[in-house]
Amino acid sequence: MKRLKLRLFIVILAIAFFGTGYWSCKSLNQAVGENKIIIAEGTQPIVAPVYVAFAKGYFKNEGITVELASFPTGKLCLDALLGGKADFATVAETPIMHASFKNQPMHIITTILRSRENTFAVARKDNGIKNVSDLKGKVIGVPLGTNAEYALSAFLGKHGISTGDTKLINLSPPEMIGPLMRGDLAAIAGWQPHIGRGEKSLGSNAIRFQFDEVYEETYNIVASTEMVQQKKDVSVKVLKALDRAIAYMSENPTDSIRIVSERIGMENNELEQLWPIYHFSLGLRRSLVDLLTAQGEWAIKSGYQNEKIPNMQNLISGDALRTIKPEAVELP
Amino acid sequence: MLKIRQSIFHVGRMLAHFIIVVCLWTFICHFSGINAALLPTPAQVGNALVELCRGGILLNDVSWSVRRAGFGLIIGGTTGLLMGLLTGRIKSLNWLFTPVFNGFRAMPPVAIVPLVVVWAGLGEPAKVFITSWAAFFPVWLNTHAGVTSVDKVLIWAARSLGAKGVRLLFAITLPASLPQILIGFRLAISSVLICVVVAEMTGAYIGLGYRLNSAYLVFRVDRMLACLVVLALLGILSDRLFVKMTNRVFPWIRLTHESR
Repeated sequence: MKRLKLRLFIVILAIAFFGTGYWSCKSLNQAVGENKIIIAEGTQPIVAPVYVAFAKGYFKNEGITVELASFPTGKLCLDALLGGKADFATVAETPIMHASFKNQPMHIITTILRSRENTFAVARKDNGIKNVSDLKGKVIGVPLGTNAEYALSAFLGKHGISTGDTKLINLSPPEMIGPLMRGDLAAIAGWQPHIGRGEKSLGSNAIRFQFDEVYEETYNIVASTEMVQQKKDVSVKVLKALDRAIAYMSENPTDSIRIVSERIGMENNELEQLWPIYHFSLGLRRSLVDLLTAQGEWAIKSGYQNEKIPNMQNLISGDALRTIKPEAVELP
Repeated sequence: MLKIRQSIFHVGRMLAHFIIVVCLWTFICHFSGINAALLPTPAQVGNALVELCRGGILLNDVSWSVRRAGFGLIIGGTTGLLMGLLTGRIKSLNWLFTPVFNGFRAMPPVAIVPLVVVWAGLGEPAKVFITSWAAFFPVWLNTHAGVTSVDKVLIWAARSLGAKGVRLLFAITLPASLPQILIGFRLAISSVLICVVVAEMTGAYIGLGYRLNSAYLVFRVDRMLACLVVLALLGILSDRLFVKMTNRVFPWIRLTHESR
């Protein structure tokens, strides 16, 4: 009798456990599939058009219900998209480039930001660093595999130095500041606002190395192939909302900064100082394909990828953007 | 003759397990509908493993990770053993330290890594501190439990024969709590292997954790799985080595790989 009761208890527990799991998955899939669009966003100032469109109700005006899923990095946003947990993702070009080597079902439907000043390097003068050549043999903190490493590599290459002449330590941008201040690192390379905070922490001991001559960063909206091919109208609506948001940001920078500041928890005055380096606009330029190709070649040379470089033009889908802003699409 | 037959049976069983896992994995890859880039086949993982072996990359990574784990096990394990003996035998130290250790024990090592990086920097001391932290608690807890569960009759008997202090410790307490202490060390081995990977994900340029993390950043799931396979093998090998060594040094405590 005791054994029977125990077996019955185990069976009930198993049903409850798996039933809960099944029900949770079902609820989640319903949330993703029905009447709701999930945009995976990377919690940075450069996601501003998405935040402003959301806050001002532009997505609602287009008849779509949007849920913003926040992630600390664009790479995680792309993971969410490729894992089927998001419909759109905001991401820089480098994670897209890496994913393209694996023929992932995704397309860039627009760039929302270009900047030559968002990513740069900061070094400690007291490490004997006065110019670029002094970076040889030094320990540099950089998030490996990202646009920061690519830009650093391109910058050093322009000055006749290879990254092999330095020691690169893998650190995410927020993690770099402490070791830089401690002196464990001679320099760091990353993106705003973290790199700017690192520069500020060093005060007069900081020397900045700008990457503007070798690299223009892009931030993009990526959609799944299914979304692009079967639900083009949704992409069009998202782009219309973003276009309106960018127009609003241009006319109302103060309110836009306030919206972004509240969304990501960044100080208003810090954002105000950064705002001029961001150039928000919708577009699909030829230079994006060139950049993706150059990064693909760098990834192969660096040993990150070992396959033939894919045709980066296949990553771009201009159909939706051409519907609302044909002049912004340079690519076929 | 019996030993040879047992060894052949043992190797055959391991091979059978390996083949079953590979077949099941391949089946899931081909029929589950999961994105091929997110779940590479065993062959692709094997190729990634070969790729990592080229130029001694994997060997360097493994040697650095094993070094960091090894130092952590020695430092954390020794400290845990000493503290376990003290808190197990001395009431006042037990009262003082046990609640504190139990509090720290609840902190996941993943959570303390950023703090350690800020305080101790990026060098080897920081990484060894994290692995020592991981080794300390299982050894301390099991030593403490072993010492407190030593049969009082044995201690009274030894005392009645004039044993006390250090003599009592080495003659009765330590031998009686040895099985529990060894379990603590065995648990600490898997703990340090987990934590060395965590420690190497931040502020490293070499090691299995670094290799795993950089593979993740560049969408190389095949390389990630290759690193995980190596970690699993390291875990199995280190456990078997520990059991073999223990059975040789303490033959009266027969630690085993399998349940009887």
